Amino acid sequence: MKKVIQETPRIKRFLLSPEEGFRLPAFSAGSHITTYVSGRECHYSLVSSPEDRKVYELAVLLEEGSKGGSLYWHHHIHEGDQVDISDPKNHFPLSDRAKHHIFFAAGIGITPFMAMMAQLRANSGSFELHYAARSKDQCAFYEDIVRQYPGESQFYFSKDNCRMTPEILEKQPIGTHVYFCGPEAMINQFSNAAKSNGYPEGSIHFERFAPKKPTDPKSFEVELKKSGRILNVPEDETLLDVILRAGIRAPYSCRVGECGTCELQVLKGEIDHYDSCLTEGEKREQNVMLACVSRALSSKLVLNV
Amino acid sequence: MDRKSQSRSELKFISGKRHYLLYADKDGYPYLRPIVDELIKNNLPFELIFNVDREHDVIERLSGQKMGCYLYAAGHWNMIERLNRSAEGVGFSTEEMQLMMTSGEPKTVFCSRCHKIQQAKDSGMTCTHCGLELSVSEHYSSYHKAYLGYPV
Repeated sequence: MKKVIQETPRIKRFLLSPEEGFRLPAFSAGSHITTYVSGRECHYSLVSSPEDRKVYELAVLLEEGSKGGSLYWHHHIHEGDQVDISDPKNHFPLSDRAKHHIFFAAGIGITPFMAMMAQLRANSGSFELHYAARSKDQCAFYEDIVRQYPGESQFYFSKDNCRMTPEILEKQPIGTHVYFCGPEAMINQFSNAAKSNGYPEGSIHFERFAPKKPTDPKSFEVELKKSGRILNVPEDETLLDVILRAGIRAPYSCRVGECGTCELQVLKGEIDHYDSCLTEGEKREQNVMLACVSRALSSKLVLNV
Repeated sequence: MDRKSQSRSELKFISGKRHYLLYADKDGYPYLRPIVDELIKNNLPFELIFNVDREHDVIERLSGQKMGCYLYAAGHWNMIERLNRSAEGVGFSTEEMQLMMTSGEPKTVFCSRCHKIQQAKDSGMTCTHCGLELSVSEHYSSYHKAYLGYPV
């Protein structure tokens, strides 16, 4: 840990540099890394410019009521500490077909866009940022954004009764791609507005930091066809957690239902989908599910595992 | 281009768009007619242009469109090729257009995966040998006497 900066009352910035003699892996804007602290895996977007191979920068929001990763990061990680991290992975890349990129950030959702704006600026790409926060002093990276992107950024502080609204999506030129990152409600509102404005699916991009919450989670059973094992998935755990704890080496990555890495084949049972990866057609076919977020409508699922 | 529409005999009406832009020539208009009827029936805003303007005018009209615009075209290979190139150049994605070639010389195409050579009537096609979806480029091989088809 090279440096820790208190950015806002609840957000800290962490600058990580590699051990002596090593160079950090290259990454593309929108990437995140997995950090391994206190026995937990936490994913954080890389905030730093992809041009900089000497430092990775993260920004961590201290979650209300946190008992895990963000609490540990805020209270137990100090300059000079060693931290284990993964290679960067990107489930939220910039589109290389876009003529113009519009970023919509709410709160800590600004983090992936910091790297995106740096990358686009380096490549003379066209972009604009719309960033909602409670107030200026709770707006992470405000000074950096105003200094580096004064003509491209617009702020909306709810304390001043200034709201970021989907009307921004109207009348944008053809070739515009829109990107959303923030709370679930904001992503849903703006994604739906984009679709209502006729944006094709491929021009709408979003990244969730937390999975969609099931409306009324119930426990269910799963039968693993290949081994014959029966497992119970309690209402407060995911299928992925249960099968990993059972010692099954199931692949996974994002844990928020976006990347598709944890897709499993379902042979029998009714799936309750909560992901944003499978198409509507794939969901209707009821023969695959993402284990990190989806559950069962029936009392039992039979999996081809 | 929307590969599925090119292999069908009809264009599919896509609802939920803010504006529709249609190009046709004399041979292509009958294929666009059902789309026009649907637009009129639903009182949806559209522009219908017969015969492709000069390339400069095409680019100017296309680049002036807003998100929520959907592009249809039906006609000669030359018109479709020009529209496809211009539309992609200004930012239309394959989800935002359906282009149908109704007349013109079929091209000989070299599949970049299996290297088999076959006829193509559209600028997008499926290789009849290996099933790969191909986009037919302007790169011509005098050795193979065929245009390169690269993966979509």
